[in-house]
Amino acid sequence: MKRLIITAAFAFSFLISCAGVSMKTPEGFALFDKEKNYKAVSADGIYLTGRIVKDKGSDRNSDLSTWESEVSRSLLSKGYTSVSKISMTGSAGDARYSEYEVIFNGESYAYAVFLSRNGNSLFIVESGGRKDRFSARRNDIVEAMKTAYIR
Amino acid sequence: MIYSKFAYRVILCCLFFGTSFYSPVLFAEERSDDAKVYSFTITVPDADEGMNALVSLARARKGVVIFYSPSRVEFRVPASGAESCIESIRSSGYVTDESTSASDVGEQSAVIRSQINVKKEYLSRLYALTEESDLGGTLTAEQEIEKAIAETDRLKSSLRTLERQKKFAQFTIYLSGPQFGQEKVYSRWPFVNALGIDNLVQEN
Repeated sequence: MKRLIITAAFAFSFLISCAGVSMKTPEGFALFDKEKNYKAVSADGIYLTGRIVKDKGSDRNSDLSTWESEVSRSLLSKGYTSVSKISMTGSAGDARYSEYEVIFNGESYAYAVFLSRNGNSLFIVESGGRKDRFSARRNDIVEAMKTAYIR
Repeated sequence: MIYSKFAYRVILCCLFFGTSFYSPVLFAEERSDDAKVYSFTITVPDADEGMNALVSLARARKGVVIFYSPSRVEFRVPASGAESCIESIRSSGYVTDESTSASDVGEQSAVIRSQINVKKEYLSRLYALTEESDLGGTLTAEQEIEKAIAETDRLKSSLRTLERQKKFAQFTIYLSGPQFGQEKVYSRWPFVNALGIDNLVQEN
């Protein structure tokens, strides 16, 4: 019995350490499948990453709009301009998508943040790249973000 | 004797008035080979509007925005549109500080051009040497040719950078106003502070 408990504890801790965000990789993106966190990059320099940001602490249960406001407040103070904020339903349940614009290296860049949660864990998916290139892929990126979940 | 006194006076007058007439002209002269850097500090009633107006101004003048933050913007515009740009900046807010600096790009360009010419002559001599010398000599000459070509390319690249500087005027504008009490908002959650396009691009 004791051995069973120890084995179960090891298996559980292994599962926790392997937990990460997974999603459908949009067309034209190359997936870095050996990374702990989800990472994909397109040939024209659009980045897509996903990771768990809160799976412990009393604040993990804060509602999504609180996290969205916190993210927005921080980005706006760094010079980002808010373009859109959308509430949506993804594979994991309620989600918030917000998109920003910023001047980076002398060019206009688009930056998008997708926030959602699986159970008690909060996860985030970021995407960004040159604005003109991002715009061409926006729909695919949003659709991929909707499929994100914690594996 | 009279003539020598007259000549002496004429020389003195020329020396005195000549310098006083010519010196301001010399110092005030605007050289076309100068790379100009303008700096302004302006106070605006609305930070976001002021910054958006400046970015739009740079783009309308076919400029390139190099850096952008809530309190500072840096951009380059073609030198021909610099004057109208200055007027627009002055009218966009209350100017509290203004400065202009110019560096003589023409002189540096001339030095680099002469260095390129020297390298070209050296290269032609090395090529001639390869035709006349034996195998060992040819190999040594080829190594030297390789070095000289690399050096010439480096000089040409520096020359192009200087030419570009001459064609563009650079502006740095600092904004101040009632909304600038706090600049960056730091979150108590590190993951929020780490968000942004710079981290996204650099981490990958």
